[in-house]
Amino acid sequence: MEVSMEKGRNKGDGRKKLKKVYTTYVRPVLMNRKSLLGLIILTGFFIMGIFGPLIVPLNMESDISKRFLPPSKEHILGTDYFGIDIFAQIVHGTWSVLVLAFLPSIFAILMAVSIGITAGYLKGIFGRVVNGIIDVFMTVPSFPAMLLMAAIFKNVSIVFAAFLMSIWMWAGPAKMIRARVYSIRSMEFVEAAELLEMPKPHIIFKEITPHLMPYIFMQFVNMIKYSVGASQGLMFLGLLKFNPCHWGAMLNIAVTQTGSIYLPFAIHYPLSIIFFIVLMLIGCTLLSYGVEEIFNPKLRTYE
Amino acid sequence: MSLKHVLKKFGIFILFVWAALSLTFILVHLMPGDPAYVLATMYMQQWNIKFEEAYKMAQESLAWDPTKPIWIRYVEYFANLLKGNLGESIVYRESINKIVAKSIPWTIFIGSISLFLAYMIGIYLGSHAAWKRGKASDTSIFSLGIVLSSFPSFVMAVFILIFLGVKFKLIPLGGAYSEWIDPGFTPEFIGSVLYHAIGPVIALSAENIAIYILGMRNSAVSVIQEDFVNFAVMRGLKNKTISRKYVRKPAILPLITNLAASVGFLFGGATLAETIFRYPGIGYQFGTALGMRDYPLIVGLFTVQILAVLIAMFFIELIYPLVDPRARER
Repeated sequence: MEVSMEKGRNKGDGRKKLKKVYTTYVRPVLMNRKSLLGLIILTGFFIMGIFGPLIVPLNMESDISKRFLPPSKEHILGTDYFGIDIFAQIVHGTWSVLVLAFLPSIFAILMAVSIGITAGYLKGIFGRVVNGIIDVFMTVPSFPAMLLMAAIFKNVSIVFAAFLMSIWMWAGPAKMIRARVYSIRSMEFVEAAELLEMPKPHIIFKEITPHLMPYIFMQFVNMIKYSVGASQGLMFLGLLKFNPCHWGAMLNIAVTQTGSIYLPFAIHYPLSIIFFIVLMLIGCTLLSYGVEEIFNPKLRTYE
Repeated sequence: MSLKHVLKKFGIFILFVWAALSLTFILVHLMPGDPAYVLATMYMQQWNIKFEEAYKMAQESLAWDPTKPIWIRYVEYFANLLKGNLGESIVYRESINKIVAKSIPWTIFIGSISLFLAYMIGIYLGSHAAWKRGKASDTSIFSLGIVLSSFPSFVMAVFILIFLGVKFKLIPLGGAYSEWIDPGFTPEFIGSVLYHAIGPVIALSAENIAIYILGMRNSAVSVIQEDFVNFAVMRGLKNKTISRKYVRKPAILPLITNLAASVGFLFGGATLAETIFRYPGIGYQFGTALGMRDYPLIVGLFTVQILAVLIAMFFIELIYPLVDPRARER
């Protein structure tokens, strides 16, 4: 009876709820210098990934007379071994870089949240078994495991590749969420809800989950950073193949296939790829550290 | 530390070894996708033979018979492992044990140096930054941490190779020692080994340094706000004493438990960094095995990596109570 009343009230106050989400999650991120800068960098990459290909044309036909041209007006970052414009390739690869950063993180955070809450909330042997499964996944070194899986499934689609990556990303965050749920579960308001015999889904989703949101958000941002690095590595070793313009694949062509790093006049080629990879990772790091500062006020340098 | 305690930890260690290896076995063998098929198509292209023939060869080299029930394959895998036999590589036609014995000293060599360097530098800079929070030196150390943590080890490896190797010719371009020097306990050989280790060590340390700088700063900042530090300040103790004995000591503890994870992290980074420097360690072998789809070698090397992480974890758990009195058994 009371539950349904509460539901009705929530529906009526949709706008208020939205405002609450804005004040607790969006505004702090925009107010913190680090997370704002990170967000600007990542937004820039999103714009580059969505609108870039419409503005910068890409001609993948090789023209050996234009091999390794230095940066000029015509080719902003110069050309590669095949005489193809480097900047155009980077722009056209941005979207696949972003997809391989966000998709695995979304899969992994869903797994981490559901398994972490289960392990933390369930009592007795079942909860301990789930906790044990998390521990086992945590001991397997994640990046080599991704390499192993990618080698077994040659020529996978981008969605399946994201899924393979997420298998090795959820365990650490799930462990942290579990620990958090474990401590929240013994708090008074949860015990009160249990005494009132509220339905379990209500206790989990309405009482416990709201307190987890900052943690989930933090873990999600960290995952994005991790999967940017990991996907570059997977592409670099040539284990995933779907876009030759993905930056990791480009670096693979630059380093192992054409040996451009050993030619002093071709240095602009690997360096411009490295620049964009590092810039994106700096954006992720700033966002992740800024978000950590917001939800853990002890870390702040200002009051 | 009683014998009973050690035995209990050892039991947990064995349980984890079994569970982690079973997990990878199940994921490799149960997931859709047939490695024999992938390998067969590769053989077909390589030697221009019919698919049936290639598929048969692939099956033989994989020792992977799909008609055999999975639990028999599972028992065989563990039986071989208990005998200490990791199988045979397809490409090298050599026992994997030999390949591991040959390559693991190199990885342990550069891995331990870079972990040690990263730990020392990271903890020093991190605690310094926390102590000077909000001042210029904090900002610069923090920025260094952000930038370094944005250089994955393979990007760092390419970066150093371009600048230190090709441009300024300060470090060699690859390998573990100069080929014209005979291996042995001569000063030339040792010098050459150290000289060739510079690049891989820097590449592997960079990201770890950043992790320890940022981790130590976080943990020290929380410790500084504890009451006992305030009390030490009120007692008029020297800043040096407070930062060393009151802040750094408790702040290091969470980072020690992190060391086992660093070992796993190191193997991941080493795969790419060693491949780029053609440094003949475990990571390089793993990288080439992946490139050539040498499945027995891939699985064998992966087994070694899991074991290494678990052994590191076992020792850290044994040592930890010596460092942290709160974790000691009463």
